[in-house]
Amino acid sequence: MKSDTERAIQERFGKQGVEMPAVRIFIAPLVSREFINYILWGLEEEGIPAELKEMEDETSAVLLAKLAADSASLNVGIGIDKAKVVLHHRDLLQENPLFSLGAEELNRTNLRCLGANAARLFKGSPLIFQDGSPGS
Amino acid sequence: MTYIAGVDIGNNSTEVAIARLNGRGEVNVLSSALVRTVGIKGTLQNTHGIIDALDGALNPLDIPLKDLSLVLLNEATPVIGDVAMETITETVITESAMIGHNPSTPGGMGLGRGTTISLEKLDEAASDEPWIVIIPGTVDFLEAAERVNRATSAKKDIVGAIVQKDDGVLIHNRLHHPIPIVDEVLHIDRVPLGMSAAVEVAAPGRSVVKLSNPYDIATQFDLDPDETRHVHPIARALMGTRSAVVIKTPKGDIEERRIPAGKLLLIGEKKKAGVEVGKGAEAIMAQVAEILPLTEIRAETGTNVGGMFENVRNVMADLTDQPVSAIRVQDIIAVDTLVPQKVLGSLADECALGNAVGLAAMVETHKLPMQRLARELEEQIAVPICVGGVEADMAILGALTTPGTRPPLAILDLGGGSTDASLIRESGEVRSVHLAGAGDMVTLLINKELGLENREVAENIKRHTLAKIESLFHMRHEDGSVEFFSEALDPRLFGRVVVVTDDGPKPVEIKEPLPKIAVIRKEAKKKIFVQNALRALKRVAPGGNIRLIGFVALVGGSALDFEIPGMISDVLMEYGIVTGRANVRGIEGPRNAVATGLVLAQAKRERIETS
Repeated sequence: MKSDTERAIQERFGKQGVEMPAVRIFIAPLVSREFINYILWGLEEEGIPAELKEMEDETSAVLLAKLAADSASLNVGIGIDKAKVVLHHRDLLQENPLFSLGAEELNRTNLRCLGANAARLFKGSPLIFQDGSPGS
Repeated sequence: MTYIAGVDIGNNSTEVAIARLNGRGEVNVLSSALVRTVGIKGTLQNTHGIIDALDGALNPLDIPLKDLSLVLLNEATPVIGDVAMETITETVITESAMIGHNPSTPGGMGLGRGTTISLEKLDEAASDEPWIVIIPGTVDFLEAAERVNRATSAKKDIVGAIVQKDDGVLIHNRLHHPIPIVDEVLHIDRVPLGMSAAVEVAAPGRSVVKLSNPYDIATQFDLDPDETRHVHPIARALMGTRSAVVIKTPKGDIEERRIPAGKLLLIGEKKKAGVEVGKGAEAIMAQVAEILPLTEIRAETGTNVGGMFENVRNVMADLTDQPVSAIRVQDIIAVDTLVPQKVLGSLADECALGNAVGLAAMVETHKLPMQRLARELEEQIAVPICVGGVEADMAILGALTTPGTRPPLAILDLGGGSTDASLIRESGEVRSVHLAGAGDMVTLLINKELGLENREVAENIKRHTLAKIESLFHMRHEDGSVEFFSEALDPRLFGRVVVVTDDGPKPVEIKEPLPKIAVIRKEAKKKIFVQNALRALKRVAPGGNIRLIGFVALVGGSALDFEIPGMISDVLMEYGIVTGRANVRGIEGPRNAVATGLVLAQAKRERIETS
């Protein structure tokens, strides 16, 4: 099942899997939909398109984020597994992602902020920090 | 053969020069050192800094402190300065009548005018008039969009929205009919309901055109000429913002208030005159020039200027053990500035520019208690101390070691608290003057004009060039050049304007774009140092004619600034004067002039004794 937001985004920005300028989000299997929406809203408010891809194999969020960033034309990627959300950039080493949210930090404010920061990372605008989280 | 040291205690730094004398009056300067002055100059605390500086200069030479046969202390100029800002106008907006701010991502585009209504009341709204809906932070954007859509489906005319959270784009993307949306309005509860309001959002990269024009506001709200005059400050405050809201409240009142800023009394040798600070810098400085030479300046008590005058006089009185009544302010410099002020009754912490006058004052007394300091130091280091040499004479003597100079040479000492000038004629006669206003005043202007409320950040902006962090790995300097880094920069610096300090880039935590910060920095330096260079040189030049000065050498901390020497050189160019940073002994740059002068003067004395 796809959420309204996902459908809205795909209508606006094109179909999944098609090469287009967007922040890439790679998602491990069985991740809660709710997480993803907050991230997408963060990106949407900043006016930057996103592209979702669900993976079939169990992979860590860091690796997913790095893969997403390396393959995205905007050089920015987000990886999500059941316990973590990671924001990565193509120029960063895999083991040093820009931001990483652990299970206890996965609330709506932090997730939306991470989405907004993914957009800002592409735009070159100052990032949002709310008292250290999401922090590096 | 003996070793001697020259020590110069300045307001900010203590400098040392170590020299070897061969007993026949020949002198060889071996090393130098510079440390921060500990305490106010002339106080006993200074000894800590002096000993540090002596150690610093002696260590590389492998000469122990006790081998020095003499330490020469300068007769420090008893001059201190202080700065203050006096606001002349401020915009007072009662009953919250405007919001003009720059949320990074407002929603939609265009202009809408209607009556303010809360989201909950939308269902009851009449369908024959336009509405501007107020959406509080407690409502989720999905719900907000849905309710607005339901209202428009019921033929209600929704023309704009004011949103508390950063949800403008999200709401806009979900509306069936696009409307302009201003978001991130912090104090949404202060937005009055049932009032006539206008919302405007400009396209990305543009700023509002209607609500920044008083006649368009008049058109929207059907204002008469008197009312239009009242909204003029609002229109001005909204210029350059990407989104804006104007609300007309029946009792709403906006006025540009002139604040009584106090009076200055200028007492000259021949005449005296009063001048209102509120008249602005030009009027004040014209009056100062008229009254010259000044003997004293007094300020009205109970004003900011009055407070500042009291402060400098108290510090000087403490320092010299004289009654406050004996201390007189002898020079001032005034400059006009525009300072952003928080609008009273604001809804989103918006600012309006107010006029202000920045003032610096200078106090000069007879002598600082250098003998007391000398005795204390002598006890601590067990080396004979000698206080002597007028600071200006010593500075000139040191500056003359700059290759390529000869009398008539003027030095401009660009310090923190005062700008000093001295001139040496071919005859060897030296004339000097101390003027109010220098580096500290520049810091104050930068601090106020950018609304920083942080002296340290202002100081950093003054001292360093700017850059913008464009990616995690590179920054673009203000001259356009790009610098790459092999390791990722702190994400907190990303996308920000930074000052390029010796310890790497430091963020400037304000929204202003880089070019604006750079302009404010440059203008502040010009207003103070260019004006003071001319004022000071005119006072020491033969017959008051700057053209008769052949060479000008810049010394002091601000001479090390990356752009001030260029600015002064530009203006002195017109008078055909060779202007540059001093290069004391061909190696020190604009530093160490007084310390060098002290040891040279001692060598000269020795020469006279031996011959």
